[in-house]
Amino acid sequence: MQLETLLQLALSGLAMGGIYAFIAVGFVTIHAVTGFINFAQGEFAMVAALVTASLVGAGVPLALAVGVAVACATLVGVATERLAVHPVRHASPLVVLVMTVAASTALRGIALLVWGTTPYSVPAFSAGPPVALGAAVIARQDLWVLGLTAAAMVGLYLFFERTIPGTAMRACADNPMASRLMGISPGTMSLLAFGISALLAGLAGAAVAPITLATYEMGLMLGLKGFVAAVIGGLRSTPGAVLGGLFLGVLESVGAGLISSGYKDALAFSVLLAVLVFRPQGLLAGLRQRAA
Amino acid sequence: MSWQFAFLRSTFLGACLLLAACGPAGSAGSGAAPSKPAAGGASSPPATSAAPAPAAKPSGGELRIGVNLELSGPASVWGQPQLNALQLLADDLNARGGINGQPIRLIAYDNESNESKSLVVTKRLVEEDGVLAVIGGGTTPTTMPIVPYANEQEVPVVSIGSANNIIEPINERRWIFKTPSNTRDIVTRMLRFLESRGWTRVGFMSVNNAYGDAGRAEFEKAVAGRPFEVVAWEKFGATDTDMKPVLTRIRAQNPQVIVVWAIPPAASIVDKNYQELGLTIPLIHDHGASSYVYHELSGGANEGMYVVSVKSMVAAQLPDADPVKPVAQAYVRDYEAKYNKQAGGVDAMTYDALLLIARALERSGPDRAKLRDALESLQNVAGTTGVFNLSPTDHNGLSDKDLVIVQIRDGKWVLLE
Repeated sequence: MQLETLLQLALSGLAMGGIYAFIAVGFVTIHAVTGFINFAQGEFAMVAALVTASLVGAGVPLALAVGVAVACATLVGVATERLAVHPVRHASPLVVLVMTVAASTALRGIALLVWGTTPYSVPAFSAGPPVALGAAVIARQDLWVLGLTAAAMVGLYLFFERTIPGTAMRACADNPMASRLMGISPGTMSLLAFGISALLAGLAGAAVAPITLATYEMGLMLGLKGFVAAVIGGLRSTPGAVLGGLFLGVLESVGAGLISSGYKDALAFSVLLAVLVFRPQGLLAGLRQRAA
Repeated sequence: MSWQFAFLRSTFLGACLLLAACGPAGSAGSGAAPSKPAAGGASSPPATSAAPAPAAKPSGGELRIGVNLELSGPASVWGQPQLNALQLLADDLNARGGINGQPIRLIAYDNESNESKSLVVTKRLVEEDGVLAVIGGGTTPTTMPIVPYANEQEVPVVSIGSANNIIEPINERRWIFKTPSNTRDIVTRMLRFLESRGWTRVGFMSVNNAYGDAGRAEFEKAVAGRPFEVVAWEKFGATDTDMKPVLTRIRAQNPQVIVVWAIPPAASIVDKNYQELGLTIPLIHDHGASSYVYHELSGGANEGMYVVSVKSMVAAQLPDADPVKPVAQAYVRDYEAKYNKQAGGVDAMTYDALLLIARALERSGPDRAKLRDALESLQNVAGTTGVFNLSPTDHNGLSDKDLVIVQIRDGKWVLLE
């Protein structure tokens, strides 16, 4: 296998990795603040992708369509929290997990009724030939995905470090009891966490639609892959989730190129099993401790 | 407060259950579309046993034709246009007084793009609905499981799958017919074009299912002993969303042309990835791509691609002497007038399936065995995709001359040869 082929495979994988990173960060945010795992995460992306496709199909400018779609995804996320998670928040995390799985199935069912089974095509955010990077090329849409990933990370950092609600969310994650005594409402924080996660997933969905087409069933796999990425990153750290996502994307692409694309999903879930069995604290956890 | 939560919770749980019940649980298909008969309500007489050959039911003078198509699942991009095409012809025939005075009634079920489900719905059509003949499955994978069953039950089946082994070996396929060109003819047509362009270093990529495997097997057979060199044999999943690794591998082998054996949406994603990688190697699709669904999903990424196409995709550009031209043009016009969507290739093949059955029924009357014999002896039937000449040894009736090479230029399908 030539070096340039490897380079191309890795570059191609980065974009999907960026998408996984978005979903993974959503998992981590919700898990940190509420202690729950939200398996409806991928469906928020699906909603955004399909809304984008419909609006663009109806002649709405792309930028506006993406904005509305992300807003829709956020709303769906908030609604999921209020309707599926909030009522059972005092039950065990397992009950909540099952509720999110139910919400995910319900959202998929609704999408099927609304959009049917046909895939929809969405134009790339900016038209034009791919950009050459040495011997390899990277598609413009992939650059958008990576750019959005970077922007979202900076935005999240600023939000968590520099704003009152962000600080409150971190407090809630660190010590729910103490933060409640300080007047922070865990319910509001949970709502905020779902909103932010759904917003991120929505961005991912709108950005991935031009690459993979938008279908009602796209959310399931996106959600699962995002979960794998979050677990690789240790399920607690946002940078870990981002790196986990990028790692998973590159691994899938290189694996598909070197072995066969048929093993792509098998590869991703083998990594999940391996991490859960051998390093449940995440691949990065040890590094951080040693650094600290 | 708590009554509010209880209310919300029960409402939501109820909604979940409801949707889980009628929506799909996994990535397979839907429960929303199936078992919706295309015409009239599904009659469900008590299930007869699986004893051999329950005869076609006398049905108050109507001719019942069963339809087994991919209305959901990965191949569903085809199912709806195919059903539309059948309904168009059935309505047309019925408006002219049916066949020998008897109206046609289509009974359509969704096979969810699933092999075993395809057999289930076929059994239902044969044993419960007592249809005269079955049209379907819409693809090779959904046709293969119903082949032994239809032979055993002695029910004529006209498939829209393209693999040769749907109708071969012919002595084990007495009751099976199909309208899409044989894979062998598609390969022959494609190789003739590649040869004329001098493209002999080929990178071959096919979808990893019976459809792709059939194409690959025929291609392998056809290039043996000829001056073609296949430098890459690649496979990808029917539901894959990223073919870039496969394309990257093929590019590394430096072929003169890439052959893609797939149906949309996979075929369209290949095109998108091709553009994303900035490839310039000529790319040719098999006739799985000769449909407007492929064209729409590619969203402009198919510019410059070649397609081994059925004639209906370029009906207006056909030479006037072609007997297919008037049939194809009328079909395209009527389809667009009725459904406000562009007609294409795969739906036209399905139209031809009912056309063959209708022509045969004119002679045979409502009897499965006589219908089979009549189908086998159809000669010179000009359909929307070619001129059918069937025989006891050829249950397709088309030849490689019924296929054309098309290039997409400025978003239009241009007939090359």
